[in-house]
Amino acid sequence: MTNGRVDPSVIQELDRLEARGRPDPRAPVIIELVEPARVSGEGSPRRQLARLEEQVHELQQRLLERLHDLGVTDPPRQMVLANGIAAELTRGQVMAISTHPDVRRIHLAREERVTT
Amino acid sequence: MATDKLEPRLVSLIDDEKRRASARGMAAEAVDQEETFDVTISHRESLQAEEVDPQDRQAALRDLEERTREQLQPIVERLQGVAADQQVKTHTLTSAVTAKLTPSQMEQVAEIDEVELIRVEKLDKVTTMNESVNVIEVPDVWDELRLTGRGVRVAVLDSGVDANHPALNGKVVDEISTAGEPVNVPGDHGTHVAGTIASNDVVFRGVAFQASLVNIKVLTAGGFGQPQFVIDGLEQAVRRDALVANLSLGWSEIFHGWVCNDADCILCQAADNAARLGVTVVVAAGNEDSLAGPGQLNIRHPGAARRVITVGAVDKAKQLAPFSSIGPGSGRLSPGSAIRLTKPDLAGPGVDIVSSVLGGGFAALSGTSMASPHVAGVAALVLEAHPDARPVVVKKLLEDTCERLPFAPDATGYGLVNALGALLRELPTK
Repeated sequence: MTNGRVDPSVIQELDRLEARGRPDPRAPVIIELVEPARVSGEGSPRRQLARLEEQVHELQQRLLERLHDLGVTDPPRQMVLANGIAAELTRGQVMAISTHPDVRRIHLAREERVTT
Repeated sequence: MATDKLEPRLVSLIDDEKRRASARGMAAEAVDQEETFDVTISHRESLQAEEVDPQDRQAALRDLEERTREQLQPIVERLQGVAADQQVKTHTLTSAVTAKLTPSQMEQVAEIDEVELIRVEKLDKVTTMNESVNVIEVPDVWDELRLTGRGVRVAVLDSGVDANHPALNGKVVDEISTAGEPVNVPGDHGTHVAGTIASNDVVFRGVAFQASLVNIKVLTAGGFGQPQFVIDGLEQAVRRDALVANLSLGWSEIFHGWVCNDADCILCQAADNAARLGVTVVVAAGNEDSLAGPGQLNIRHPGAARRVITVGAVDKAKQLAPFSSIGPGSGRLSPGSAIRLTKPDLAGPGVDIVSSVLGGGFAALSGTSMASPHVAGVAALVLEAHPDARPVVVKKLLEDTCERLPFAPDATGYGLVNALGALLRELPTK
């Protein structure tokens, strides 16, 4: 059961890995935060990007702490242009973090062929 | 039948004809005697033209023509012997003749020592770059307006660009990998896309052939990637001062289970932010045609993003490519609205496009991946003329100046991108 914030593909991937006999497997995911990354529109692009980075990392702080509490020890990858954090999580960690008020969606980040 | 001097695909073409003949109740041998094929017969020794100054070119050509005719004489005589009424075309720049022969006649011609190879002259459906740029009226922009993309940095977010390809020599001015694979591992897909934008080959010339490329490798050489690779790649495009970014890629609701409710997923968010930060982001619509099932959409992500230019594909006859993803995109007219925004925004040539590939050669590929870099190239031409134009203005200009096509807006948006139209029009004030 999920709370609607977890993409079905994440659950499918965890099911697939479990079916292969891996105990408590981890799936690569991107956790999208509720608050979007907003560009200020003032100053040079580089200055705006620096401000965005500062703002987004601040927004991500609470979630990073929660991930740490959940036992995620590898440093998650923090994005800037989108307010998201990439990490590898177990099913339990996915379910737990999905209830966090800062979480909007959890996407699967498995490497896939995406050329068109 | 001796086939060692026949090109393998010619042999299989003859075999196919024999199978068809048998199915019609005819003897397969009749094909050997009666069925003719257009073939080119090449001499075992090639002739080289002298390297000359431009003023001596015509004389050198006449000299080569004479030497070629002389060299080909035994083959021409044999052709006249086996097919007296044969129309033979003798080539000049290559030591070969073209004729229409039955398999039996080919065998007789192949017997003489001078013949190296007999290959089929088949109408292959290939749109070379010099054809596809004509379709969107780029050469007039080069010749009349003297715009070639000079000074514009175009980021290629793809599987990696082969910077050593002769057609891309000196083009890549900056590079980085966000894909976990070294940046010096190029991919065919990225090299093809880069060639369409900026190849400086004389025949397969890119749309903005004097633009500079920023090779941002966001996919493995095989075309695999994760969303964060692309998001980080878009950030690198901003940091590395690219004015245009081409993304011939995307996550599909159908094939990747990607979820995006209102063009607001992380991929769309990042692409829109890159556009806000001054990068004109051009994205392939996807190759899903209208496969989407209930609750799904065909346009990939970040192609659905509002501020990007999303590109569908047509062929050189300006017909909709059967694979091109049909809109709308996931974006909604207003929050919660059931009405989705029209995508793709416009179309570009994307069927059988010949461009650079690994190993220094050229090959034909099809897809909205091939249409997108045509539009990215046109955006680079626009930005050469108007370096301060914001991405939203470039997008509107390209949309306003499209050649109208007789397809639904959800198929080709405003129509076929038109370089000359875009460069002759004043910038919109949006």
